[in-house]
Amino acid sequence: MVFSSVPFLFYFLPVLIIVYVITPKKLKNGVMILASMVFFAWGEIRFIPVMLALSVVDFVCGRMMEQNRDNQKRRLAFMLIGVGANLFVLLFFKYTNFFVANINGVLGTAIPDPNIILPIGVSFNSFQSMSYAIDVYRGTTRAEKKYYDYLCYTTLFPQIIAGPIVRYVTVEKDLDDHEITRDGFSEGMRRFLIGLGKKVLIANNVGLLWSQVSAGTAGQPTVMLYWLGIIAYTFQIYFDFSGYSDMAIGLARVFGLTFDENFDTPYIAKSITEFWRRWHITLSAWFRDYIYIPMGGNRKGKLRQMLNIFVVWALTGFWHGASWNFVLWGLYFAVLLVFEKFVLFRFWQKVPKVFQHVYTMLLVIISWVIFAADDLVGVTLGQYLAGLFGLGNLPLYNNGALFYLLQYAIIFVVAAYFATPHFKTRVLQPAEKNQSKLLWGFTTAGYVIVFLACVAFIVNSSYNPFLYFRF
Amino acid sequence: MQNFKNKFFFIIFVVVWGAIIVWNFVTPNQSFSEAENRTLASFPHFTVETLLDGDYMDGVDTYLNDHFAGRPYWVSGQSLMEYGLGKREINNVFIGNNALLGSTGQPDADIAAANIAGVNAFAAQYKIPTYTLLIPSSTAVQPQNLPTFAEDWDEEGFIKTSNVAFGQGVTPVDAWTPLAAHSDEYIYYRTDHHWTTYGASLAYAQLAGAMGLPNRAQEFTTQTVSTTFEGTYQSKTGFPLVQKDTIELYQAGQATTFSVFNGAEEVEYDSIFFPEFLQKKDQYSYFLGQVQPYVTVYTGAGTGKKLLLFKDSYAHCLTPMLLADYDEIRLVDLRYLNGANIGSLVQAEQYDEALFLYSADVFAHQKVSGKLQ
Repeated sequence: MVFSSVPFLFYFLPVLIIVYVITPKKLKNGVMILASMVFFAWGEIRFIPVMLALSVVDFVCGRMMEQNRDNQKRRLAFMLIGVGANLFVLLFFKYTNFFVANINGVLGTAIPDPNIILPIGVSFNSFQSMSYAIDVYRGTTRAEKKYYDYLCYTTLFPQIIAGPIVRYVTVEKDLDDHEITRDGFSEGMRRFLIGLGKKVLIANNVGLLWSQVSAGTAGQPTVMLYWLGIIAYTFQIYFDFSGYSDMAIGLARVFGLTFDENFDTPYIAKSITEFWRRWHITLSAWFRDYIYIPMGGNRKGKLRQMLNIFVVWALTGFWHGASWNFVLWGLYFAVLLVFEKFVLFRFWQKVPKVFQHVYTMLLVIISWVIFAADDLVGVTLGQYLAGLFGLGNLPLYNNGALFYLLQYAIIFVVAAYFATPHFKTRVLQPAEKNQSKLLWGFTTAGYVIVFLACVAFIVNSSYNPFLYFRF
Repeated sequence: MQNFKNKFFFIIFVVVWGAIIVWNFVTPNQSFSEAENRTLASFPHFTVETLLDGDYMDGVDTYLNDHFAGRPYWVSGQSLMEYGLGKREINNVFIGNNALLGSTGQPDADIAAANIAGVNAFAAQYKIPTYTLLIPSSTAVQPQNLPTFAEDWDEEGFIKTSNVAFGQGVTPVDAWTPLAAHSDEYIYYRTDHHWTTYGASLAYAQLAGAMGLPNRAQEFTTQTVSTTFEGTYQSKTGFPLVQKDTIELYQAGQATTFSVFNGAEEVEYDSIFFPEFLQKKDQYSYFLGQVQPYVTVYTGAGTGKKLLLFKDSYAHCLTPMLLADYDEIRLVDLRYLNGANIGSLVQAEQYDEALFLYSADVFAHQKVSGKLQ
């Protein structure tokens, strides 16, 4: 089930809230588990047995590590079992097709395509469970004592489809004791509505343009059309994904849980390094804490650090999808990050800020072309990139491109504005702090209007895809 | 203060949210949407299989979306918001200057070639005078109504090339010139893809000249049958700000019997007009009812001539202008007929003349006369 849908907004969520409120505290986790199962089954019912089996493995490994606190070897073994089980499920469901295709390609064999369908959320779920096993092993957290609570944690419906990657430590305390309060509901719902608006009003709208440009149905290609297309995608992926995170964080808050933040206005970054401190924060943190630092991070010399960066970013890219363009996308960032660390930052302070922003956004936009290469129909990644920079023998613009420009100019400006922190820091936060009841009346009306506008778009939409669904 | 704010927000939000939920509960479900002119999804049938492959859940999603209370209002609201954000094309319909216009896209060269070849093959086989009338869309004839920079395919070029490609025994009739000459007039509906009856009468004058019929434009009895028509483009966009259309009837002569073959059996009516559709969304079906594989109009004209008319629905409002000149007109919609020998199925050999009347859109994108090869 997706958040931005009629069944979720008008059936699932209200029913769950009512049932949850009237359920005694001890059984609230049970209600959450049941709700999460229904939510997850709505899109991926066949994966439920695997998910349940994994949660048992995770839990048992956690308990065993706890009981063998003095036996280092055993603890390591159980950690490896926990991590291995999740890694296996991830590799099997996400990468088997890819591996088979590549083996066939390289060795000339004809192993039939296993055609394994990637279950929704498996990438997030497995990363979350691995972090649990490693954290318990490291002793940064105690193992959960009740399977019931662990299952509730690992299936929590707000994050199960597209993150954020919530570590056990983050919600450990909340798991024993959560409830819906009026404050939690109101604040959580406001956050949810912001996310819903980002997704439904901005991401879906600009996404329509990218889907036409990438599918080659937007008319004759021109340089301008290619730029419009990839700018649309740049906005789409941010508003889609960060909107999803806002909705997840808001929903968690409604039920008295606190999730980590996942985005911090990444498009205002002044370098790629900064961009990645602001984009998909829980994922970068995961790779930093569980791969980069254990590999030595920056503590073993420059050469080793470069290698570490390349490994981590190849994996980060690969995590995003079982396809070479994602690996390329990761390596592209590895090159940029190494370049920034060892060259650019020596003088970056002296460079005008405007240039820093232009540099960052340009490279980020190019990265999205690589990222979205799978969408392209009839043109290769290379042709699209060449086209963007006037090397593709394309006309600069035509009436078709101007038509799209006129249609999307307003929404691009709106999207660009909401990609900055201005609205949050200068409008929303002051409204939360201001003592004026009248102002609060307007603020509430604003939220209600966003809600109604979203409902109108949702009711009319056959076009409602979540970009991060297949991750 | 924070306490007050959260309480205030809580009350307002829950009331709005609850109101929509209650509205959904009290609204009776309909199986057909007049506004969208389509059958709404029915509740999915539960089986273990559909549950496991997710079809059941998808079905519930579609059902709940389709039956959402006040759906037409939400859709119109959405359409207005998109318009406000600068969008001028929704669902392949341009929102223009007090008019909605279609965006149908480049022609399919193979299909168009097959349709032309089909007309030529028909003329060669039956050796009766055969005419064609390809009708451009409002998008092509009235570009002044299009939003800035909007453009669609070259219908004028397509019609002219096709007219040259029709072979011996086929007389192409030019609808482009008379329509383009009246481009500023009410020759197409603002909310629908069809031409108005007035637009059709301009082509009729051309057609009568080519087919050797007396031009009866002066004798037409005219009548306004509706002033509340909102057509297919309005359905596709939900856009509420375009003025409603007026449907007129121009008629010469009378039909005595109207026989409808609906694919299974022939049903007879005593009129070719169906006023009941004027109370519904699909008001254009006033003319000859809904599209059927073939229908036959019998008149008391006494001219001894029979016309075989291969057509799409553009022909429906033009047919009443021909009633005084033919004893019988059979209208065949090839989109709904298939099989090896359609010519003998519709008894083409009984007719004295044939006319292929198609919108350029249908002729360029759908296999119609191509089925006659």
